Amino acid sequence: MIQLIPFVAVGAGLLILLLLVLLRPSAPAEGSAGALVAAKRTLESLQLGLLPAGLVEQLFGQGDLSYISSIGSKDLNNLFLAERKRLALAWIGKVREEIGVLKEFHVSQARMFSQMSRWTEISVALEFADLEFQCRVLQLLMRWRGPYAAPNLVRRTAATAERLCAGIDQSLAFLTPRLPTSVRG
Amino acid sequence: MAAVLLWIAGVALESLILFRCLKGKLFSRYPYFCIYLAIVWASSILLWPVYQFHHAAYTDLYWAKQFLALAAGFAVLFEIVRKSFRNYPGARTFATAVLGAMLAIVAGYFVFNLMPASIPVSENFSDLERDFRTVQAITLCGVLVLVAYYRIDLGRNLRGIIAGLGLYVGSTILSHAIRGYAGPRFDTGWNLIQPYTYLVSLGIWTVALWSYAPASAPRTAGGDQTYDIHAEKTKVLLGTMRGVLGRVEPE
Repeated sequence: MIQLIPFVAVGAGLLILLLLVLLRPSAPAEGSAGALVAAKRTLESLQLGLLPAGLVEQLFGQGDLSYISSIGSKDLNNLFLAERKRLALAWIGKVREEIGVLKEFHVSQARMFSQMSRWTEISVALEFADLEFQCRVLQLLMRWRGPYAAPNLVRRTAATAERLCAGIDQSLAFLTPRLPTSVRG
Repeated sequence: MAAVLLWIAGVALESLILFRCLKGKLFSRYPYFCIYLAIVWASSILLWPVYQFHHAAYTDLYWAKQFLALAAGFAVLFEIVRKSFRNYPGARTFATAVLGAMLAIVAGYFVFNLMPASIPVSENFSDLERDFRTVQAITLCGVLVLVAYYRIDLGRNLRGIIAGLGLYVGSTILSHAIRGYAGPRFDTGWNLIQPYTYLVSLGIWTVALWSYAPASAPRTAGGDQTYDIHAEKTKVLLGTMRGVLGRVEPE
């Protein structure tokens, strides 16, 4: 019976994988300039809008909660927690969505490079998977325990996302034109 | 009677696919797949009289035919990898590694399991086929994972070849595994699953290979896209400057 399991797993696994992969719609042929610019915009939105340490600290740090608690109104406290939970979930949802866009972009570019390093590619894939997993865990924790459930995990997720963004940013550097000295002032 | 009908349906579909491949010049585009199908088609026709009039000799010849089809099946896998990732050099490095690993496993299997064996291969062929099909299945799984991860567009022809082969390989492994465990009790199921799954695979191949339908080539940034990049760069610059101006506007 035990001998049967690996063969059944391989046979059934192949059939399931076939269904999943071949029945999904084909991807458009990417690699166009539009894809590059969309990725650049996503990157900017992450780096400037969602991931800065100050914003993460403001959202998930205890500062605001301490201030509201010091007022002493239970209703106000509950309202604040509900609003902050909504905000935190929106933040994590947006980070997840933009990470997905970056992954799509990275994959559509990486597949074209003949000099691609297999190990680097595996490590990037694992990093994306790890990030996706962390985001899902955070979403679950926040839904269940509120916005202050896992501040350390939030910081770690933001740091991982930032590290990934920095790597992708280098490959998109050519899309950021250098401002003339007079404009930079 | 059912066996005769199944045989006729199988040979008719194989003939139709080969005819369409000839008419659509698919022989030059998918040579290994066409050779594989031609081997199966020719052996089906040649073995039928043996099955009818020399049943004792049929078993040995059947396994010989299966062995030939199995070997040709590996060539089809090679073709799938070669064609699927042709336009994607990065993804191809992974696919080649998967294929290399598969060949190493098959070579290792030959050296350690078949060479020292004193019993004839035909007596042990069920296990041999199950093991070889498992290697094929693992390779196909690897290819499918890469196709999904890198969002490779396969085109109708390759999509059909993979679907038909995958369905046949997957069901063969399951049938062999269950037959090995359940013994003769599973013979009825075995006699149903194998031929009918093969017919479904032939149906998929008929539709997929009706005419030449390759994958669309991915566009690359460069060449005629240069202007687009330039224009988009300008838009990004404008957007950045607008953002800078917005920040310094009086509140």
